[in-house]
Amino acid sequence: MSNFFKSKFFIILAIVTVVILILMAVSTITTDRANPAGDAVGTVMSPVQRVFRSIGDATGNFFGRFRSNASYREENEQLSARVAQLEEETRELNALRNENERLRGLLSLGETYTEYEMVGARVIAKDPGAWYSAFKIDKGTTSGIRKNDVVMTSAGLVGYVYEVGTTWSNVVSVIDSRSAAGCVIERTGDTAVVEGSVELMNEGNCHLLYLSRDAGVAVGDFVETSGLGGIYPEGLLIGKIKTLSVDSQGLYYEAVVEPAVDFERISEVMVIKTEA
Amino acid sequence: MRHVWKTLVLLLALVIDSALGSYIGILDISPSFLLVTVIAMAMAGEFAEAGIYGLAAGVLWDLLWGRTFGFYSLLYLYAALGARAFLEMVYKNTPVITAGITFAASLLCEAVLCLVNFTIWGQGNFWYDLFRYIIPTAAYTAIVQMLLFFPITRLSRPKEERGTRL
Repeated sequence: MSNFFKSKFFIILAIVTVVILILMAVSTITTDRANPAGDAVGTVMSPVQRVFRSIGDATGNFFGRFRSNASYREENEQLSARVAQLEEETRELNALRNENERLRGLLSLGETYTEYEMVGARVIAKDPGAWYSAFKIDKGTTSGIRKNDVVMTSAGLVGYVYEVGTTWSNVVSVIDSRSAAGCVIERTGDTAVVEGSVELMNEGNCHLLYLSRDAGVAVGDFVETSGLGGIYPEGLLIGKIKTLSVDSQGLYYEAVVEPAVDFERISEVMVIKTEA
Repeated sequence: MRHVWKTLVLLLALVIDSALGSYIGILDISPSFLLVTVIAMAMAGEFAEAGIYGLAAGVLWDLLWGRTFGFYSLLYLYAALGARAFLEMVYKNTPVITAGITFAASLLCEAVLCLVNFTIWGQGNFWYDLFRYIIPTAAYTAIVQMLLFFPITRLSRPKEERGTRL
């Protein structure tokens, strides 16, 4: 064992470990841009990730179609080839219509938030771990995106940009366990804090905390950003209250918020250039 | 040439994890192809090689997703070295043993992430997360390891060693 500690391998391992620990300490100092190495890797990887994402979409659609056809056959054994063809066309038209609606919705965001400049982007990768809800979009500094820019869909708030590369950005969503935002209940005007949590994140929900016991809120009330906290502008729809309870100390209400955005199926987003 | 292929496989695993992870997930549980690749490569190569590929995998992950650079680098470096050290003790590299080590490595990595998440962000309930995410993720990753063991091991071993048992 003592030989191991004197070996060249152990010395190199110790040096590498110390260097990484120093880099960890240095990287905690936040910067507006990704480090050059991270930017280079992200720039090279994003087209590949985009291709794989498309493959994943196509595969998912294929199996989804297979499942629906199988159940349909059970109910309608006399289904003719003509009907199947028409159904296929209808599905394609529906897909196009849905995409059209999504894109129209995104465009209408620009009309709603006229004071901000916006950029459309596609989601090309998602953080696969169970602990965080982050994803990568295909626009970066070349499109004018900066750290802390707000990301939305026509349905509501998605999150904010936490790292920017040349042609990509990483976005942390409102349901991520690292995320917290000041919010206001639209109907009553009561303020609170919306916070991500590991348990709720995987259900696509988040927590609402520090809501006064005097607040006259109810399940189904809409929750918007309050503009406090410095990242999100005021009035962006976060979601609606799903369940309401009193916290363990009995001081505040706490609630589960169902975001307006379906984070499982998110594909196109708008980035609001809040600093433009 | 072997190292070029291994690097490409590592990059492929990284891309599969980030682009296809949500499609192959079952009940919000996705396997880590990167960890599968790192452990299989560590078990099939030399000690130093295990460290280098573990470190490379972690650095790539840090560059793509890490908010604190170096965290995954250390995690994957020591996971690879730990796997290789275990092999020194058992002298046997079979799909079941490698899957077992992958299970243990995944369990440790996810548990560390959970604890860091809890410590830094004050998030999480360790026991709930252990049974809901950590153990299922480790099991799923180990199953994927059993499926991918032979192709990755074959690719990772030097040409002269292929076809022989460790």
